[in-house]
Amino acid sequence: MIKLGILDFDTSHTVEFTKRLNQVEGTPKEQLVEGAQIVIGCPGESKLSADRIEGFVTQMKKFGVPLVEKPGDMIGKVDGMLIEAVDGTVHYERARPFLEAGIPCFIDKPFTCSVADAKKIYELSAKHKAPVFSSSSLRYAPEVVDFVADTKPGKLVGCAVYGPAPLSPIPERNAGLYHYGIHPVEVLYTLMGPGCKRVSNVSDKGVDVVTGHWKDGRVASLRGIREGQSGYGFTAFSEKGIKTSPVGTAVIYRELLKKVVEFFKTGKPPVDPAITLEIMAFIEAANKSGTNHGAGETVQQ
Amino acid sequence: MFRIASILVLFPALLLFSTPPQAAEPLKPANAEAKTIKVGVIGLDNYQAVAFTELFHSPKAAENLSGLKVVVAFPAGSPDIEESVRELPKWIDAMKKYNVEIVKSPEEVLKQVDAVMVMSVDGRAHLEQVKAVLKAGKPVFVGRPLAASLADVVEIFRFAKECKTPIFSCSQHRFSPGFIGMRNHPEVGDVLGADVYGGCPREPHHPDLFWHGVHSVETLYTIMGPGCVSVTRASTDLADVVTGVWKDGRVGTYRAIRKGPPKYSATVFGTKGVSTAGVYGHGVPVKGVVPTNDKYMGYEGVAIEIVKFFKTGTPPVSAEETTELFAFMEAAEESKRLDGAVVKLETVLAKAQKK
Repeated sequence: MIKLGILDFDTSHTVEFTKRLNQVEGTPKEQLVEGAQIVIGCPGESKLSADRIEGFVTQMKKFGVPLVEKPGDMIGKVDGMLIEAVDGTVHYERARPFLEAGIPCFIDKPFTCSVADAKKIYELSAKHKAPVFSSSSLRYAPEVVDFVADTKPGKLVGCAVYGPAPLSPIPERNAGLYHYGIHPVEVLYTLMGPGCKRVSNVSDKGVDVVTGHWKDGRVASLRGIREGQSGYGFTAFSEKGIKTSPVGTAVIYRELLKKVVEFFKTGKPPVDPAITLEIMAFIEAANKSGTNHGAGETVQQ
Repeated sequence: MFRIASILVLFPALLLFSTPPQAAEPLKPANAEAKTIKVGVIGLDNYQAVAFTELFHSPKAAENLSGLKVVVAFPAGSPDIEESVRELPKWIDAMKKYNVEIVKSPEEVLKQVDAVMVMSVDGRAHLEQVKAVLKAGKPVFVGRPLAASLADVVEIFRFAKECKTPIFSCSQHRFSPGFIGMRNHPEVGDVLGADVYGGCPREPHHPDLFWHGVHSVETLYTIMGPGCVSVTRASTDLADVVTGVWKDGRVGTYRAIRKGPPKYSATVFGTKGVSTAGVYGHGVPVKGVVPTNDKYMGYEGVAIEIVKFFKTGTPPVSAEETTELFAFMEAAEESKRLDGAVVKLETVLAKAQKK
């Protein structure tokens, strides 16, 4: 059994992941994931949603997870860490002590809120041979996974992905699409793969519409929705057909956690760090374009 | 004026049949015939003229498709467009089967009819063809694309106004029930955005989107309504994605498909939810299920509107909206030239108006 620590309780992921990994009573059986357990937690701090911590602490206590006051107190007691802070701007600092101690880290979305921070994390990861994995759970939604596995449609020529993209209440933390836009962006990258060289983002109060231009000539678009009702979905344009599909969220935590367990077992991130880095660069460029009335921006890593 | 023209043309027939003693008898069909609007066609190098004629002439035509008769056609074509050269002979033969007289000039068409459909596949040809019709004061429906440049579109509508003659033009996709039905779809609510897609082969004499892209841009306008302010465009050999911002902050996109099998549809975003649109020719989806076994309405949707238009003289799509739709495509061309820069519709429109 892999022993995991969990840091920063300002997101529901803390509770949701623990329920599934620790087989907490009352959790629907089909949601449970085996192979790792949360053995210790640190409620930590939050500049983005501090008011959520208290409630989640109560729940984590109920689940019987021992809590410590300082993140460093978990070192020596765990095989891996889940860095949960909802605020991507703090992930480098929050992960640092663990990486320096050689502890593998799953870093929740958004991985970072800049290419610079992402690079710093990977440098630290390489230096201390502590592997790092980050992904939105939407990458593992069954409709997305099934589509990617299906060879019948032929090569993907492009796609249009949509999903909710509410903005962070504090714009300098999880700016623009880093906050929730990361989810549909992750779907976009799961479908398209890496290689986007340029983006343009038309950003308005109710919506961001990003067009990405891949270096092989493929074009994909992303609609981040803030006004009106929306779930997730995509239309995939392939060489042999067009498929439109909604993307359900019913089992996405379970599917992500299976990958998290696999990551801690093997030490290999299920998503190539180069792709995660490009996703950060894509969002960085899209945000920049969005504040510049849709002017084209290079995706720079 | 229309009536005089139709009586003149009818007269020889009247004389033939009204010789028997009961002179009152043949007047019945003659009266009924007098109400029939005689339509002429200019341009026969694509299927649409035949499709409309078939619908109008069908003995089973419903009320909303009856009252029109296509009587004469001038088989205009364009020698430098492959499709035109290839298709023209086929459709001339087809029109003859519907007893449509084939004549040697547009003037001969205008002499015989109350209203005209300009059906040439070549948008470049329309300005001259349409102007002649407007000058003669005949209401005119123009098949897509209305023109091959925004400047021509502006001039056509200006001239129509000057001639005080009704005109209307659209792609048949506008009145496809699965598209127009998305404007007030119960699962979508008020439309907040739409991502439209469709096939977009290029034709060297038309700007990229004017040739086939116009179908889907028409769909975008059908679903979003007018009000687009600016566009940006990503363009490669595989696809184009044009993103338009409407003045109320809504955003609509058009994806031009050039690789892989094309399909014409959209995803529509609204106050109540998200739904795929129908596919061309078919009805609106319910809970995401797109009907394909319902009655095919491809040309019939717009045919009904043409009948209504010729009967009332009121165009179902305003000149302003059609002009904007072409400004959208022209701005998209400009954005491509400027490597994806934001281009305002009013800028390209001002340029076109100066020409």
